[in-house]
Amino acid sequence: MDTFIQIAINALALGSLYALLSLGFAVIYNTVRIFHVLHGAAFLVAGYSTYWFTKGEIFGYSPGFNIWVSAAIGIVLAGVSGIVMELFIYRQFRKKGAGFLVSFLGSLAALFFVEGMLITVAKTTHRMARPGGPLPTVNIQNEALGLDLYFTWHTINTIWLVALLVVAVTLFFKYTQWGRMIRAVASNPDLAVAVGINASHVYLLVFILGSTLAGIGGVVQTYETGITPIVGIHLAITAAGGVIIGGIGSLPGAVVGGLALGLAQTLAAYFFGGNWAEPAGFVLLLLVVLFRPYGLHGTREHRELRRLL
Amino acid sequence: MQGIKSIRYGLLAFAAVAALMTVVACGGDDPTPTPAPAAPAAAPAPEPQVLKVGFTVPMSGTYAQWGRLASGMQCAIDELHDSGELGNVTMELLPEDSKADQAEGVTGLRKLASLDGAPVIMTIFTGIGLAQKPVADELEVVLVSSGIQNPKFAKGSDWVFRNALNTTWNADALVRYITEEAKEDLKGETWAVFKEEGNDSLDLQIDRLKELAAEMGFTVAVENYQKGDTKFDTPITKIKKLEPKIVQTMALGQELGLIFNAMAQQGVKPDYRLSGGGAEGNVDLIRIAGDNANGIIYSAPAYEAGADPRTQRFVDCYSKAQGGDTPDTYAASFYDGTLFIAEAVKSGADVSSAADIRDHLAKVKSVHGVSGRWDYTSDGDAWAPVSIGQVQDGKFVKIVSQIEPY
Amino acid sequence: MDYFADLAVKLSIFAILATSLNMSVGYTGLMSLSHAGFMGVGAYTFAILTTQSTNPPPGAEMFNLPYWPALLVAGIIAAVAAIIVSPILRLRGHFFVLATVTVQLTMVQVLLSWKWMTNGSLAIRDVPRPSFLGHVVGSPQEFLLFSVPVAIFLILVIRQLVQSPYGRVLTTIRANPSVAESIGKNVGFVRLRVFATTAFMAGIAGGLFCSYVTVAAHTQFLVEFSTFILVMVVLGGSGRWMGSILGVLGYILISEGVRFIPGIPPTMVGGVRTMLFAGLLFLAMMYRPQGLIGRYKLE
Repeated sequence: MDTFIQIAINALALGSLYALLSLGFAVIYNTVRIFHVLHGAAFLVAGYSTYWFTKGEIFGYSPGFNIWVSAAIGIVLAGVSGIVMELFIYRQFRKKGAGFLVSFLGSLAALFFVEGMLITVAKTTHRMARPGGPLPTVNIQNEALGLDLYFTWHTINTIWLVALLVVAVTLFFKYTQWGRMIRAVASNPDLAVAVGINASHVYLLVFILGSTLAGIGGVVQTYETGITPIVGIHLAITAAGGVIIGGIGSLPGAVVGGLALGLAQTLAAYFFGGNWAEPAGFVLLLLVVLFRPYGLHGTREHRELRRLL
Repeated sequence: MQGIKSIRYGLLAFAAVAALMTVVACGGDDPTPTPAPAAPAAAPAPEPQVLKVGFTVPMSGTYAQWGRLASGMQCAIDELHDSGELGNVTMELLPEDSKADQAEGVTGLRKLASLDGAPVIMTIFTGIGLAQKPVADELEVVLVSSGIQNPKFAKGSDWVFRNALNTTWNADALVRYITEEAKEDLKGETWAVFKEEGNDSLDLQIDRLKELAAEMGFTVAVENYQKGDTKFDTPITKIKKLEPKIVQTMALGQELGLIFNAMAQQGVKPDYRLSGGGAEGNVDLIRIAGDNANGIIYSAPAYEAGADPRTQRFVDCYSKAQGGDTPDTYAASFYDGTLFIAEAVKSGADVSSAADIRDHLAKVKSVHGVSGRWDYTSDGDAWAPVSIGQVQDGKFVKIVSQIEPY
Repeated sequence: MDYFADLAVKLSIFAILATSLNMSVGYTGLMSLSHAGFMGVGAYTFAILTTQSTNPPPGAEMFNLPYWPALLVAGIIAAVAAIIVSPILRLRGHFFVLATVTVQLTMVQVLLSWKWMTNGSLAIRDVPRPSFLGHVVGSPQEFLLFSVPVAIFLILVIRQLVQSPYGRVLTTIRANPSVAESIGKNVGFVRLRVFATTAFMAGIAGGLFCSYVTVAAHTQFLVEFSTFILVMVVLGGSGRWMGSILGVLGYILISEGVRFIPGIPPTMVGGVRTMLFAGLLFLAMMYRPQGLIGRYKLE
């Protein structure tokens, strides 16, 4: 019985992280309609910044900041990187009228470039933004129910933090002016511009929002288990996978998709072995794409869009 | 119009390619330098000579960390130069990125052997070494590895030498330690292992462990993970149910520390936490697992930092080159491998002749290196003592200096 | 000069891969990142059928085919794999790309995990080289004399296909599938044929490759390699079979050239190489999406 709960908690923890990434990806995709593989870079920026400001050194100077400060810096930098991505990359592609393939390859190239730079500068050594050792755990024991559960505070914190962010983002889109503007541009860019919404500002905002979410994920991961330069692509594909499984066009869907991916990976690891975790995620993705392409929650209009793609 | 343009491009490209191929095919045939005339070990020539030692090693990608072994070798070369043991011969290390890929390793080998004229090439990783083996035979250059633990590597070719620990001895050493030194009875117990998927030398070690398990009556439970994984919660949950007496990792680099952390986080506390072959000197382990690393027992070559002045110089040199990291057993093995190669120089081989170097190396009996004493067999293989160590207070401490395989 | 012969062999094999992928991407509009996977399937098939190792995988022991039939079967099995995953051809745009990535990752995982047939991580060794009139091909130069004609043959086949009226069908499907349907072409079936044919070529290239390296290992056919082949196609120019050859040439020149740039320590070569390729691809997408001599400014 307690194995079941333990697995459920593992899955929830993993799924929350994926949900966060997928949410960020979805926020961007819904409005800009680009397969933003560069999303992984925001994660890397936040993660590495957090590391450098806490334990590492920058140009020979060791800041050694408190973890909260570094985390904040990391998240802010992730948001800034989102601005850079929009201004210097996607805006340029839009101006040239580039189609999906060109901007996708451009995005991929930029991600590889960032990773290459990190490999050259920081090498592939694993970095963790905290002193070594296991994280503080909570142990719940109950003879009667046969329970002997262990989980870390970090896991618990991650879960409720992500839940909070999801709620915050949902409220943002439903009730704020900016949220409404974004939704307007997302559903009908021409009409939105016609009624006077500044689409460029909206695009910027969307990238800031999405990249910040990815940045939070980066900080969380770097604190718990560390980071290396090559995880960028995996994360981008995972984020995209979560969005597709949950249904493009739907933010709650992205969250559900991320959770589903986490669950699939955990179950595969349990029943088949750790090395099947990643492939299982992709098989799930493949199945969804083949048999239910609008995902679990896709909105009707995106369903139509997909048929035309 | 399009058709004509494409014909023009076509002709251009074909011409370019054909020219390239002609140059290549008719280019110089014999890549190896002409062997020295059959004279007894020539007295050192008056001008300084250079022994070029190539090294195909992953320097990029997931396995880029192995590039640090080049520092181990360079430190050995510096030591040899300083001590004057080589006379007026200098050794030059030429590293090439093998990207942990067979084809790249072969390309690197060809470049080193034909373009750079290196008569000796050091290599690492079984898959790459085995792919390079026939090429070494073909090009008639010496191929050495201080890191390939697969015993089949050196067999069947005069040009290949292996001076690395046999991977399966890790299994022997650990089992012997548990049963004989710690005097534990393993009958009926579970010995759980975390293994990196896709690593052939680890698979050999598992096979050996299962052999020993069958003989002694304990069960081996294997959990696989993918290289680069950071989350081990689920495999650990599975192992927890089996209540293993012993949990062993066959991991290198960051996964080692992460696995032990995850174990502590889930309350898995076996009687023994072991590591075969990847723990000693693993800086990431201490960095990631902190105090939790204390008490881990591991098998390793009998290399002892600080045991003698030369070893200390090695540690200092390596730390300087690697930004403060202390050398691990692999770095020590490659240091010793360089000493092995230098033996050919010391016994008077002609450093421009791969064949001469090969003959001299085949006659080397033993080398006292930083990992202890290596004894060389007549078929190009080697043996060095295995030791057992334990992490104590964040340091790697030997607790059994020498333990033999069964 | 051995070193250059080695590069030339790689060039000839990659040319087969790039040109076939071009037929898929450039002409028919099927952007596939699974090419390396099909190559791997072909390579392993070839290895299983011909290995002379002293301890081959158990599943391989029953096979012992001569060289040329094995090469053909390698291609066929790769094509069969393509047919098995063909349901993904129904998808469009991002979905198709992601689906091909999934297929790629799955194929590699199968190669790794089906130990009985493939030896898993231990790989398959002692894959033979071809022999002519009793002489076994040894050096790269000799292999070159063998691989270049094969490559030229396959490339000419592709050229024939794409320059014929059939080729026009392909480009129509890429540009506007509904038009193609309206004139009676069964779009789905054509896509399937192209996908399977290009997989067949990739399989043969895989067989050649593992015969050259004499080893078949899963690490040689990862998704990164698929990306590189795509880059070769795109940079050279999609929609023009010659473009792929130029793309391969460029790739090999840059990738080896980085080794020779003075001032870069060997440890940085890998990172610099990635940055160079990524930078080139990015600039190309931004300023010259049609690559060197491409027909289309890729949409």
